[in-house]
Amino acid sequence: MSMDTEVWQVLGLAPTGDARAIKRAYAALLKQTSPEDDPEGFQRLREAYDEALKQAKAIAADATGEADGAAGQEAQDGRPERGARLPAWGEANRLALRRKSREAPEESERTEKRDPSEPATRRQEQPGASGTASSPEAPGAGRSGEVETFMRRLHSIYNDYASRIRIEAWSELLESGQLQDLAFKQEIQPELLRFLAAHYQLPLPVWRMLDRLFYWTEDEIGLTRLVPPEFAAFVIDSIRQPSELRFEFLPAAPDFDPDEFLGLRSRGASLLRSGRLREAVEDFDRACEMFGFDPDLLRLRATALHLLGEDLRAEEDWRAILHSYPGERDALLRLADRLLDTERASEALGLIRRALDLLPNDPAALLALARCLRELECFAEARQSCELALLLEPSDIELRIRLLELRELELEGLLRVLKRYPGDREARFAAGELLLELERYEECEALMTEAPLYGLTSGMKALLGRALLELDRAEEAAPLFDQAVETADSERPDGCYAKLRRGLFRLRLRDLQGAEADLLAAASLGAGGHELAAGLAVCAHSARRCEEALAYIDEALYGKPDSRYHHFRAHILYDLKRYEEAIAPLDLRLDFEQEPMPVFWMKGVCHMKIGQYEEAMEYLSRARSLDDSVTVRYRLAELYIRLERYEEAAAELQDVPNKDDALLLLLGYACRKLGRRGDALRCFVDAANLAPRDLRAARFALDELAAGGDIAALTYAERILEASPDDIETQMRRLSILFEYGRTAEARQALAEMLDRVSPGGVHPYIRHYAGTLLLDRREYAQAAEQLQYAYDAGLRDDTASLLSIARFETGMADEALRLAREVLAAEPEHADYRARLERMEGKSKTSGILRLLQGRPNRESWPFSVKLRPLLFAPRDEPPYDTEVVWT
Amino acid sequence: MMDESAYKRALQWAMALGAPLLESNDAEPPYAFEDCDFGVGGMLEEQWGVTEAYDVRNLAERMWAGMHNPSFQEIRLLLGGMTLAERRAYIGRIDRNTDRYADFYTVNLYMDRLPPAGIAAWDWGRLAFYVRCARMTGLIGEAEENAYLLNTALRARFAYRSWPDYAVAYMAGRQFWRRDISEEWSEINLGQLRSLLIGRRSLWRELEWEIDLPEPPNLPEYGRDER
Repeated sequence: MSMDTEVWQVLGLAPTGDARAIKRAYAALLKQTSPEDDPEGFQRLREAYDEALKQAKAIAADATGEADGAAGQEAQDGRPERGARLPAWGEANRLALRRKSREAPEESERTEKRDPSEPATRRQEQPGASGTASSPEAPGAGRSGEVETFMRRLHSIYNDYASRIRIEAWSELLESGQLQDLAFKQEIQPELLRFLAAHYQLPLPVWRMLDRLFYWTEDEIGLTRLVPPEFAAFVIDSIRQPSELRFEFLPAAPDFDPDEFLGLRSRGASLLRSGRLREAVEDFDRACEMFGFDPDLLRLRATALHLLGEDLRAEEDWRAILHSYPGERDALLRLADRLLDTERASEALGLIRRALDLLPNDPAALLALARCLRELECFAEARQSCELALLLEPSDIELRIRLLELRELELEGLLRVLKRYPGDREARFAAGELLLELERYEECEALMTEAPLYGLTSGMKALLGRALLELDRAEEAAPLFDQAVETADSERPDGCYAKLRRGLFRLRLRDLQGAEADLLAAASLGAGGHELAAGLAVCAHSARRCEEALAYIDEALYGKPDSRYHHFRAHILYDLKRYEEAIAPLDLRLDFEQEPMPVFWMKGVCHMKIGQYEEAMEYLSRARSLDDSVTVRYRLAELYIRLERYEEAAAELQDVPNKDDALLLLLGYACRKLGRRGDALRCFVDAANLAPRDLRAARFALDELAAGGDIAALTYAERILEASPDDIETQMRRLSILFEYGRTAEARQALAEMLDRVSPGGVHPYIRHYAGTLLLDRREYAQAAEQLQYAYDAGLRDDTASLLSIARFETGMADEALRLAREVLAAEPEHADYRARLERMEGKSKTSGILRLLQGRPNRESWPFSVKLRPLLFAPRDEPPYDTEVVWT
Repeated sequence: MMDESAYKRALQWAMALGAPLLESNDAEPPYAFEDCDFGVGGMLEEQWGVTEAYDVRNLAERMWAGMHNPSFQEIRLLLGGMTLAERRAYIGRIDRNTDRYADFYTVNLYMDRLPPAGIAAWDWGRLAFYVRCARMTGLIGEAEENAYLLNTALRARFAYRSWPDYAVAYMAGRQFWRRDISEEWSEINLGQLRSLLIGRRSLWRELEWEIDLPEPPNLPEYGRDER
């Protein structure tokens, strides 16, 4: 293969005299050929480019006057011109042609259906059918008229630079009704992509317009089916480019090649992004030689030069931008930075003010302003500027560093003033505040006390108090805060500063009532800020006004998103049982906490309370690994119980010394679940004795004792009933114990009281049982039957049913009595009483009902049913000794 | 030829590059070797796998080449092609809860103010501290420590213009590494620098940035058998 042919093959072009086409092809290939990744390829491309340009001149000279004709001939022959020579197109073209070839019949049909009046020849001459592609300038035989016209318009807009950068021109074409037609869109898409492969220097809005039409970014895979992946990536990058280089500044001179310029500029930008700064600057230089007034080009070059340390040249570029475009904010700020670095603050000041006019409250500009004012020795103004910037950009460490410097410088100035005018109390107070901010407390104290002749204002007294407080001399500080408030009150009503400071001081001493009064007074006088709000939150929380505390702490957080405030907020939410909400602020605190155990603990508990046991286990275990305290072990044991891991719960609590009542209850509960009733009983009784006022502990003791029929249960039952006389469960247990131990009179009285107190509908079935039994014992059978029937209907069986059978029998309902007696015996065939009762009923039942009535009321001798007052057994209530609610907020 | 006093000052200057970490380990200026008694423990081994002199050299070379700075610079270059407004819009589109957001946010915040060296101060400052730790654990001797320190100092001296500038770059690096752009961390970071910037005994105040530095000694070479 000859060198001549190879040159054109490398560029993907047919030999041409069109230098612009060669440049375009070269620029497109450059995007795919990196000198670093493929140095040989890059070298080959570069040589081909140079050689092609040389040959182009010769071709152009030879073909003068024939070029148009030749192109026309090519078109007539149906030979591919643009499709073959466009660099990024090669493979894409073939793919597209193959696709078209496959789709050709369908396309024909669709076209036919859409517009049957179209000439048949057109439908027959699809590019796929001929296997060739054609150029828009030289329409091939297979291209439809619509496509051809569209592509002509496309070329026309692109080739006229003024139209190319006019977005309206593109909107007119691309948003026309034609492209609403799906078939047309499908047909035009490959042509359009082919066009873009060679005509890609388009404003970003045009790329985005195309994307809205063809959904390339939404369907990248679809795009790679049409074009090679590299070109698809180029298209996507062009649409998604984060930086929009502007097109509108280029000159309209006829000898100016915008594509070459734009190619150099975009390649330079790409080199800049990849860190090849020197090469980037070379491209920018070449572009600048063509046209040196493009603000984007100058900005890019200045950026690259700055990164190369060539700030002098960069400065020239920034100046050049501002010369032509005085409103370029980037240039204003960058040039100001440069001027500040080279001690030209006065000149910088004007630039920064212009930048701030364009975008007020820009932290970067405010910092620059602060630097500038510092150089101009306007320290107070500089500090204000820095403080404002810090409010807007609190994470900026430079602002904090500069602020520290500025405070020092301002302080020096104030100290100089005080040397000359020691009676200037405002300057003294300001200097004192700066000393405090700079943590120079001893100097602050000295400054406040060195000129007693001039007296101390309220603010100065409070300031001195603060300094002493920082020096751990709280006792000396206390009267100073009081004096500050007194002075403020006597001098003028506005004692805001003094009250705020004394309030915060009192807060530190945990004098919460006094603190709250001062802080509220300060707030009413106009004080604000996060310290005040946080202080009020602490006061409200300590007074159990949690909702109010929450509002205050939110206010504090608004002023300063400090993790300690988040932590406190979590505490409040925890107390409000809003456990789920408490988790996020705890997470925020964890990042900063030096001693994370309490945070782990609270987070674990919060997770447990909302049923997230896995997370709860993680955090409580972490807390446990850091701390052996009862608080942690208690919650971990609770979690084990919730997870029914009773052995682990008991093990966690067993060896805790001096167990308190809550812990004993938890341990007792675990023991009960493990079947260790004796241990459980000991724990509950100990807990109830440790906390005699704790009804919950008394209930646990009562339950366990009553279940075992222990007369000691009465002690706890009475303790509970004293506080809670309507506690039915306790009443029942007491009753059962009274019956058990034959204290019938007390039982009867208790029962009568219970029946008096409770409405008939609300009477517990056990009470009915006992009432029925007592009535039966008094041979008041009808009333007994009524009570026992209630109990029976409520589900009580055994004794209830057996006693009911007696009552029924005695009221003449022998059949019903027998049925019940048999049912009871069937359930417990070995029960001697049940058997005896049935046998007696069966024997007696042989006597007719009338005869029995004639015999009159039976007595115990003649009709001795054994009515034993056997107590009912009460199993312990299965309620764990902790809040079981799952709180979802 | 530099006199002994100037040489000593130069070494102090170099050691002061590691002052933020030295101070947070309770070392006091001028950070003389004899006065450094903070617990180094197995820190070098745990954090960097440094167990012998060769590893110290290796660590130094990695730090000089840049540990976090290359990532910073990469983002800086990407953002460098954009205007300020484009940068803000670009970062605004990143999910705030991602590391990527923190990275881009930090770079954008500092990139225009930092010199071309970027956040190299963060790597070099840490190196000065680690070199001292290496000497304290007996991995290297005084001569080696001086060589590492002076080689680091030479880089820092011409990359930044002042101690506050160095401090900004150092802490910007720390923020970039931590990926934490919260106000609270910013305050904590300042706390680490406070005494250095305004303290009466601070080496940063005592030693001018534009100090004369000696020709750095050759770095120790380690043969295969010494590894």
